[in-house]
Amino acid sequence: MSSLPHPLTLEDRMLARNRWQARRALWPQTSFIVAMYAALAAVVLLLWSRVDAHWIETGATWIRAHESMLAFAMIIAATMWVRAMLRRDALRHADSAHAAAPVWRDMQRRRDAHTRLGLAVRVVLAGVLLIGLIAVHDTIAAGRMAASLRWSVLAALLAIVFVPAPTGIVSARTSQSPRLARVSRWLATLGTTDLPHLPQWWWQRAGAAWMRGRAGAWLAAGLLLAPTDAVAIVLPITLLVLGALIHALDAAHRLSEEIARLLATRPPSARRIWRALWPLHASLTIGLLLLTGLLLHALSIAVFWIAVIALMLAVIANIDLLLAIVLRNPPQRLGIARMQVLVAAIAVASAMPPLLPLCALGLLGVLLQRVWRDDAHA
Amino acid sequence: MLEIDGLVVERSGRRVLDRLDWRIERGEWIGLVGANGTGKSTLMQASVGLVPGVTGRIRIGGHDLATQTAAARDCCAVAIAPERLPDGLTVRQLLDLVQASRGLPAGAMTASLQLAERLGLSPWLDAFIGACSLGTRQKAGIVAGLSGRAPLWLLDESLNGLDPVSAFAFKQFLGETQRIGDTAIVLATHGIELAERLLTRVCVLRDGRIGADFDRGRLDAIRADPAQSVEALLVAAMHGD
Repeated sequence: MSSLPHPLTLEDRMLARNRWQARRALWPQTSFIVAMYAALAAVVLLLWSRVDAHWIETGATWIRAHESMLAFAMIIAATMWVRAMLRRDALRHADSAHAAAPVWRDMQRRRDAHTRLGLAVRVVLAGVLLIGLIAVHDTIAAGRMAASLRWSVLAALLAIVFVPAPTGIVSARTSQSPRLARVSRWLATLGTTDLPHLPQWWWQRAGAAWMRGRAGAWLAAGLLLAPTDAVAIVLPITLLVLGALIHALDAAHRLSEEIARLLATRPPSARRIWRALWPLHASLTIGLLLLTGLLLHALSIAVFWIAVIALMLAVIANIDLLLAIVLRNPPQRLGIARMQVLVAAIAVASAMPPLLPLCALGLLGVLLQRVWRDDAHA
Repeated sequence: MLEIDGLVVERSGRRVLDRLDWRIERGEWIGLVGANGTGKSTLMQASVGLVPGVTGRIRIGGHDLATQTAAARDCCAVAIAPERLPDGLTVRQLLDLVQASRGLPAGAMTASLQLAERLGLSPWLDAFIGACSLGTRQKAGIVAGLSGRAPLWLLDESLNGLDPVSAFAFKQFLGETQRIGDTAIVLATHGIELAERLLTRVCVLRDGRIGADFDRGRLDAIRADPAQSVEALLVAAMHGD
């Protein structure tokens, strides 16, 4: 039995293959995400290049002065991390489809080794990234930092390799139905087949934790960039908001087509669809408005005009969603209706511009009424 | 095939299974019945080591589950519950996954595909599990779980969600397998009408123990008597009469 792969390893490989195929099939989405992350990386590098070199030197000095403490902290962190990963692995297996399948000792040993190797690679890459970022500023400081950090990294690697796996995992489990831990099935399906860029577990377990992690990363980046003065408060918060907004826009981009598709196929009434969708729609719209407002404000546009533009955007976003709900079946109607509304809006804007807001509000009212009255199954 | 001695399972301070003893032999098709909350699913899961904090001894195919877990589980096929199936895989990939991780020969896939055909699962083989209905997921769990020729099959309410045609085909399949005689089948179910015709033994779980055990001879005698009904007797046994 020694050559058999662990079922979790096989499952991970199959899921990764499916997600890769989905990403290839949805190449516009993939291009958008790649461009988004490339832009983010460029912004971060730009900000990093403007950091005062004095702070880096201070940081390097602090690390040199606390080498032993850092190595000790790395051992503790690596121990906790590797045990948490092994425990998570075991719990995942216990809740999986192959929980009752035989797992031979060699299979489990290879799986654990694979998990530990993954962690070790991440630690080394994090060290290399840190040194690389410092080298952008000051190669001498980077060299000194590397000399100091190598013992910490080595200590972490030793901990990762030799820390024993936690025992009694199954007996420590809280008895809980897997159904309770899952989001609704259609959303999970969406995550596995149609939105392949989001991590699988985000859909299944902890969307909120994922967002908290991202927000925390942005906050940490902000604090790292500007540790003093008033900027220390303003910059991290700005970065935090920006990070959250970019993720919201990212999700909106990926969800828009899927929502249209779902609206075309899901049987519930328009009112039920509206009730299910409004929290997501509202959060995305607010995110869009905040981002737009920030950008316009940065361009020194007056607050009044920013408010007008934000109001227009909000009305347009709501009209679009309501149109998608009302004209959900067949989906082709939605495309045609969007085009007709756009042409009408251009015509009204060129002939009688003051009437445009009134027309938009009127259309919004009509659509809201249609949605509210549609209580029968479509 | 399955020997359980003194099995005790406690949950939230309540003793679900209380010093339960049970023996199952090859060639039996056993119906495990009992009221809601009597511990049928707990017993099925504990039999393959999926319940924490149990005491007692469980042996499958002569292997002790506590000390020879993998060898014991290798003798056992468990229909996978629909909620445990991975949404991101297709049904065919699920079959591949189970068979590759168990090291089954290529012929096992042919047998699985034949069972899938009988249950009407073939059109869904390349569909993502997350997009399947409850019944289709149930079928996928059955076909994947019963891959290979393990001598003990554990089916926990596996007829739930199946359409009548598939349920009939599955019961026929189980009957054929039982008649071959090299497999022990345990089906936890609320469908006690199965006992009227198909099951070779029925065990009633009550108060954490096997409260009544209707073996083949007793079932045949009841079936032969037009004045008696297996269903009525099982209901009475579930009430403790």
